[in-house]
Amino acid sequence: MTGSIDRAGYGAVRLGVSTSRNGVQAVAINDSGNIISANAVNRSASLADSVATALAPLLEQVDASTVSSVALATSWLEEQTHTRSTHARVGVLRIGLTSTGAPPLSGWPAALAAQLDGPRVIVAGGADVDGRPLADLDLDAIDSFARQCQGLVDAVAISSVFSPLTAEHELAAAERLAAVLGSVPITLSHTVGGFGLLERENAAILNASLRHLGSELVSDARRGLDRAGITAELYLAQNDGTLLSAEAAAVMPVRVFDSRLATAANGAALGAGVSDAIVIDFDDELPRASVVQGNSVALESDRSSLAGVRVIQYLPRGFDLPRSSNPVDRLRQHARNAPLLAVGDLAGRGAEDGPPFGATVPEHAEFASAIGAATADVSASVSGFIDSDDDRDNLLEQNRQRAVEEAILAGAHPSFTRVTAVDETPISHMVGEPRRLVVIAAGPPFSFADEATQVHNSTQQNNERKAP
Amino acid sequence: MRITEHDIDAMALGAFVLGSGGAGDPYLTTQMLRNQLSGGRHLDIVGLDELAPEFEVAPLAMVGSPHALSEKLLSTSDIHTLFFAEGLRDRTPDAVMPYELAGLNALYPLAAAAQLGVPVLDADFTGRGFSSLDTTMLGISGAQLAEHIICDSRGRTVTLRTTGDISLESLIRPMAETMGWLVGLSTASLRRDFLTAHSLGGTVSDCLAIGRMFGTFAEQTLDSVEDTLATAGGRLLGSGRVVERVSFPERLGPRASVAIEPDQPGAALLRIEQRNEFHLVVRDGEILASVPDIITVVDRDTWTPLSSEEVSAQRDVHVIALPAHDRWLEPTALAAVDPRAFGYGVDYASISGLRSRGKA
Repeated sequence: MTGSIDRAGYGAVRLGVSTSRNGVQAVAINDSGNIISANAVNRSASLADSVATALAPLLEQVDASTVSSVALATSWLEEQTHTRSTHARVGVLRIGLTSTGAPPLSGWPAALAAQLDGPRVIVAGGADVDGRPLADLDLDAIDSFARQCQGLVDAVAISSVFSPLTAEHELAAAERLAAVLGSVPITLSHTVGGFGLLERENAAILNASLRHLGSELVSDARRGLDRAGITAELYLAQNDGTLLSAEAAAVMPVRVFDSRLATAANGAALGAGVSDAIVIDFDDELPRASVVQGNSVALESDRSSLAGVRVIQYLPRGFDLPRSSNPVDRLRQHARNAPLLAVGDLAGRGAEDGPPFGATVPEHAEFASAIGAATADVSASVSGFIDSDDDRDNLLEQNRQRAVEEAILAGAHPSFTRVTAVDETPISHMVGEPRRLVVIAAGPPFSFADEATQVHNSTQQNNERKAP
Repeated sequence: MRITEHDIDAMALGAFVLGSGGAGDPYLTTQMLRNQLSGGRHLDIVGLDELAPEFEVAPLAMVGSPHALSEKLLSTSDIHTLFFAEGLRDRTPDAVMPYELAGLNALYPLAAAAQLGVPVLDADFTGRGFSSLDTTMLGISGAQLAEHIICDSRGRTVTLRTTGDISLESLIRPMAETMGWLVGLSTASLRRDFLTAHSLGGTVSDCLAIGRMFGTFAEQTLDSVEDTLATAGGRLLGSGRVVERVSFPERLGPRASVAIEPDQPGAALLRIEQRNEFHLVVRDGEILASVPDIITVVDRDTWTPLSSEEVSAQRDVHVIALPAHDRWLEPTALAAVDPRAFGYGVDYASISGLRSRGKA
């Protein structure tokens, strides 16, 4: 690649690895943003083997000690949920008796709900709209739930009314459960999402059900790197195309459920040197399309669904494309004058008249997802609420600070992490102009390699965008 | 008429459309109703003409903020509290009815009826979404009821007995605020003669029909969508991308102006004026649709209705108008809900009959 990747300037070499059902692609990108090595192999049964095999030829050209970070984009978790009966048995504790009309797992696909198959209860507690307790936390009911779960569940999800305002009851309940359940992993809803109890709880339950797979994914990937002789930090691409440290991903698998659509879109636009594009990913049997707007993949702004479950998570606005029809006109609406790009290892093949839908195949199309991962920033978001009586500037500043801290915890480099988006949504039917707030912060992956002398430059941008 | 599990999605879609951008996402109440109707159970919908004179009906609604609702959700115990309304009713009602047939308030009474095992009356007091409790058939005809009960999700209740002409909205809204921005509302039980005079009949069935109609749009061509809408007196006013949204805060929610750019370069923008609900659609100074007609903005791909909050820049949308219930067009009623009543300097204009395709 010749200078079309304009994201250079720090660290030594960043590796990107992408796995789909059929193949594994790996790229090495130097600090000028050039691809210095790339390799693709077929998927083998073991993820560790696949990763190691894909990376091996790269390390003939790249000194492993100069690798500053490795980013993995994978649909592995999504695949597992199709191929194995792998969701763990999950106990669900919801705190807040105001919510009994829509109990946990309302609206879930029946088959998935049946797989989780653990105790579900709603107990007294939670917070009201002003953050004050709705009721005292019912510790007796929690103890009884803990005993019900004992020896029966693999993981627990806890949600609480208005926990984005105050997570006190979720934390107290977790402590109580841990006393009985020991090391059973617990997902707290306030760590998974923003406002919207049902959607946040859904994401927490999905996350809990994926915890053991998340650990497996991260340890397999790490083993692959070890085998290849790479000691650099491992990051996983999130569903929105940004990165998360492997440690954080292992406990927050719902965020890395299926990242390949987003990384492929970002990598395609980067490869084509454009900021807006419609991208069709031909890596798997079913091609999927997404939209890049202003250098990053367009995300679903309101209602989104994961594994058929309603959540509020940052997911790409994606479309499955049956090969037989021509849905490009519909996609055109989203990016009218933007080029149509085809990427993925099947992009240039199999069609006698060139790529389907008359799409352009950009440079390194086969490696788009790996490129998108290798060049992504680490990011994190926080949700807040600003009431009319609050000191707006102060609260905004606090939330900006929190977002930066969360991004750093997720693995972003402290020196270069900045707020990238602030989204304020006015709330209707409430007096005094209250607003929901989402702040996103991002920075390049932290790396010990570039600590000493490297000067970070071109990725540091202060122009904030609106959150999706 | 009967409603089963298979009608819920259409009912919710119709309710979303009738919300005209407001009245809340019916999703949550959809789940409540689904839980009630699973396993082949059904819900009876009875017409005004089927009511026996001594039959008593309890209207139900939720009042509050979608923000509070999204977290506290809805409780099954509120339904009991409102329905039995100790101290307000002499006897248990025979049926429930929606107070405002739109958004979550369309399906909440249905879920309540299913939980209580009573039928739903095929009528309501608005036939569409309005933010204020005063803009109902009761409010505009001076028939506002003297007895109300509100109940919050912690089981706290307030029973109101009023005399004279007091704005219900001004009374209830601050109480809702005090009670955590979310309360259930019911009134003293109502009987046939009163309901025949002051409610809009057939609106529950209409909601289901509208939902069924919108449910077919994603599979239709634009031309056939226009034809289908025309059969209901509706129009597709335009399609395009939201290029700008300017919001400014007001006491009960942000007022906003939205500009939609049609596909054809250089074609005139479609503008929507809104506050909680969509109030006006204007192109080149011509009013294409106005309140109280029902203006709905839907996602361009899925034809799913959007709330007024969701209509933000970069969204690709269609704009649709459906006629309001005839009773809203009678002079007294219209004066309370025409564009001037919402602070716009224009009169009501019926839905523009122009074929809009190709223009915006």
